Amino acid sequence: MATAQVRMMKRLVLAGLLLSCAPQLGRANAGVGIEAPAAHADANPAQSSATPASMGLSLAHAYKISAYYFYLQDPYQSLLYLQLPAAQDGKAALLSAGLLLQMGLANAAAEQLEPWLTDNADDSLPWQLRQMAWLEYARFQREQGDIAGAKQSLAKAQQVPAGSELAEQLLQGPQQQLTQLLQWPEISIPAAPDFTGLADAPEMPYIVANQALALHAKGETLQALNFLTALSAKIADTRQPAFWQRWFGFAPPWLAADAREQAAMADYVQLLQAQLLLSQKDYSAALVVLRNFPQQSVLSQTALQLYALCLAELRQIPTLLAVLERQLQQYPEVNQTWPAALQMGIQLEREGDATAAFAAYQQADQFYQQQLLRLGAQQPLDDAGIRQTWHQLMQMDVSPTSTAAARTVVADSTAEADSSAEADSSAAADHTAKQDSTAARLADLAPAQQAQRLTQGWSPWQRWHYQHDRSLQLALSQWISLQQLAQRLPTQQQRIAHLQKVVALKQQQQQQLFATLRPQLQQQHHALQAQVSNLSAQLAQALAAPYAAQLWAEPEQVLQRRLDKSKQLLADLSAAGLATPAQQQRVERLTALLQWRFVDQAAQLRQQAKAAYASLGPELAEQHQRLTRLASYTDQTPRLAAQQQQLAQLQVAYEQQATQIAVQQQALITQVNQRFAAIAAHDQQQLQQLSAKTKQALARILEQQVPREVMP
Amino acid sequence: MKGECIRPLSALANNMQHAATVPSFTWPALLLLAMITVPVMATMPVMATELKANATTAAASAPASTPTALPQAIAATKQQAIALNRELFLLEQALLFPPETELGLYLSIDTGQFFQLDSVQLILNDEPIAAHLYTASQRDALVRGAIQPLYTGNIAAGDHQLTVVFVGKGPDQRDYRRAVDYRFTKADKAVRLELQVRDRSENFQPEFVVQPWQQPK
Repeated sequence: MATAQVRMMKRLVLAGLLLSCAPQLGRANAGVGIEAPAAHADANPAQSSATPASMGLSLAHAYKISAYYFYLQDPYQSLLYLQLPAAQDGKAALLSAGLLLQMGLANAAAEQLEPWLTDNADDSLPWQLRQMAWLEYARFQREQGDIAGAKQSLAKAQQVPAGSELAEQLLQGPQQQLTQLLQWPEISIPAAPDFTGLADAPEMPYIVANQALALHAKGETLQALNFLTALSAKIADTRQPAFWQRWFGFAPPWLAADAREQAAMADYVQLLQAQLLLSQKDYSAALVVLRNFPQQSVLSQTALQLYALCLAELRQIPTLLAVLERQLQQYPEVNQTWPAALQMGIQLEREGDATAAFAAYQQADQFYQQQLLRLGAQQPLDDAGIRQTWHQLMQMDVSPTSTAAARTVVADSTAEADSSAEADSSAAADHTAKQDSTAARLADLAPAQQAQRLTQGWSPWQRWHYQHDRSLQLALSQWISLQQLAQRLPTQQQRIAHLQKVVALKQQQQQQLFATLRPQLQQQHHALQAQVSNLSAQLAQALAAPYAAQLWAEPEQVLQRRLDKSKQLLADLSAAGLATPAQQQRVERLTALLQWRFVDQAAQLRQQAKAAYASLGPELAEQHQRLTRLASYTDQTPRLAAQQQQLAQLQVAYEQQATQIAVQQQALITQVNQRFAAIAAHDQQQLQQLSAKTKQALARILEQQVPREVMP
Repeated sequence: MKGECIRPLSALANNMQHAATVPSFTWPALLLLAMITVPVMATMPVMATELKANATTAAASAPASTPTALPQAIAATKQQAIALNRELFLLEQALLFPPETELGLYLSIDTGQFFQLDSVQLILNDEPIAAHLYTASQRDALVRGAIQPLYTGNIAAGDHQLTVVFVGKGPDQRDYRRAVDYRFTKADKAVRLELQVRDRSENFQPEFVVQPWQQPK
């Protein structure tokens, strides 16, 4: 009943521990009262190393990201981030183990836990984490049947360092609970319920109730009743805390649970009281307790049975008949109520009302036949149908009119239930329950609540047995966990497809780069280099020559050519003896003028050429550097090919997983159907026996009546 | 039944399920209840015998056959899922977000007393790159101290400017919108930035900080 509390508590503790190495631990744990073990912040930085595979995440960050997914109820993603840092420490291992336990991988969790929980293990681990791990490990060992090992582990969980009273109180509840389970029935029982010591434990009501049961088992029923009376008063004390109490956030943890949990707990204690009173044969007192028992409690069916017992003992026949009838009306699908139909006839027969008894027996027989027919008509569950319901529920969550849609569906299903003969007075309660449960998003619900929603379409008989049969619950919870895995598959396959495209593109780029682009670039670079060296030579030559042609501008080059021609003519004339000194002088003057212009121009051109050459240098150097870098790149094609192969293998693995999930889900539903079939067979047998007894009773009454009628 | 408390205990089925699914302590208690019910009933007269027979047979009804092979197979499937999830994630990191170009943005919230985050917009070099609208459960996770991986992308080497716009409810439930600018230089190593929403008790206002993560040594 208080499992929600416990789960919440465990989650808070685990979350607190997840964050315990982060600098802001104090605030994260403020709600659960764990003090920040600041000493553990990055307890072992030497172990935090970054590798490509680790994404370069530090452990502190990994814990916090892991916590994010933990809170969003995605243990797979949470575990992924926890495992990313290359160097794992003890804390990471223990936290991983916690997540593995959440996923139902108890063996894997145990493998993780064992090396870190030995006496020689890392002492720097936060002791709260170590203790919580010990507790969970003890629980696991107990479930595996290793009671001695579980006791040893529990003893280690109980070793609390001095000065840690606050956290000790936090763990006290689960520790005591587990101790009771391991030592039952020889549990330690205080002289009076220890309400003060268990003030912070949400398990307090259960611990005290178990102590009462142990007392009863020892024959100390009166003392057990005292325990229950005190417990009843304690949990009924719903007074609001005073102002200062509220200011400091005080509220008993068992009151912090939701109202349904509280009500269920109170009913349980009330029922237990009634049972102890019955064992004392104090029928009147038991009757008083049971008379005030709520009509629609989880334990109403048992309470009605006990109520009927008291009434029978006290011979309050009219009320007894009403109660028996009510049992049949309220729980027609429950095999424990079926004898009530026969009992009505028996009681009336005892009262001497043969006619009424005969009618009651006839009704009982009719009832048994109806139940037999209904049992025979039970349809086995269908894996595809359950999956469809799941998808519908998920779609309702994402639909903008989800609440309205949920209500419509619920109304329809309720109408259907109403129309069936099995619909009873609990339909109204069911209706409300359905509305309540559909208000939240399916994905945000705990697995148990998800299962609750999934069973809404089942018949009342199936639902009842599901609620009372552990193997059915386990099978459905496994089915849900597999469904959650199946739900992730399409996204994962999309990711793989995307990665395959990326790899293909990269391969294409690689091929282009190494086969075409790089040789082409290198060729161009070589050509450019040749040009530059040529240019450099020319420039050197030009700089060295007195009147290098390269340093002449175009008009001056024309003038130079004309001057050369003139010189040639003058030389010819001189050879012929025709040249005049004036001509000689004129040519010399023109030559001097041209030289002057050359000197003037060449200085500018030389400057420009030098500057141009200087700017070409770095440009070429950078290009060369880039080309060298490009040349140094190794061909990534093999790596990409390996990755492509890895992706292909992943693709196959995911496909195989999808098949495995489908097969396993199918097997689970088959298991559920087999279990239902076995229960139905048993129920049918019981109904047949009851029907036979009813027929015998009818025959007996007829036999008794016939002689009377025959007699004169 | 006269004097019964009529209570619409809507969670009738819910509660039973709670009791059933987690075996921590509720079921033992209920089992103990069953243990005590039988002896109590045994003391009853005729009718009690009938009911007891019924109750005991119900308890011993059809055997629960749970083959061990199936749970083992399911556990193997789950473990395979864990391994595949990790492999896929690492491949994704290697192929899509190499450190030379990787930009990772993470978000954390302090106690959240002065600011209730509704959404975040991310703008890189004046270009919007991502936005996120928060659900109650995400906000709750952040307020408890977790860190959200908000964005992972690729950027070129060089200088960049990141603008983060936080939208939500500030003190006194007033609409609150605040932008924070952050300049950084991308080199060969991955850049990871934590966008922190802190409570500043000096002026009862939220404070928005961009904090670069140091690469582990």
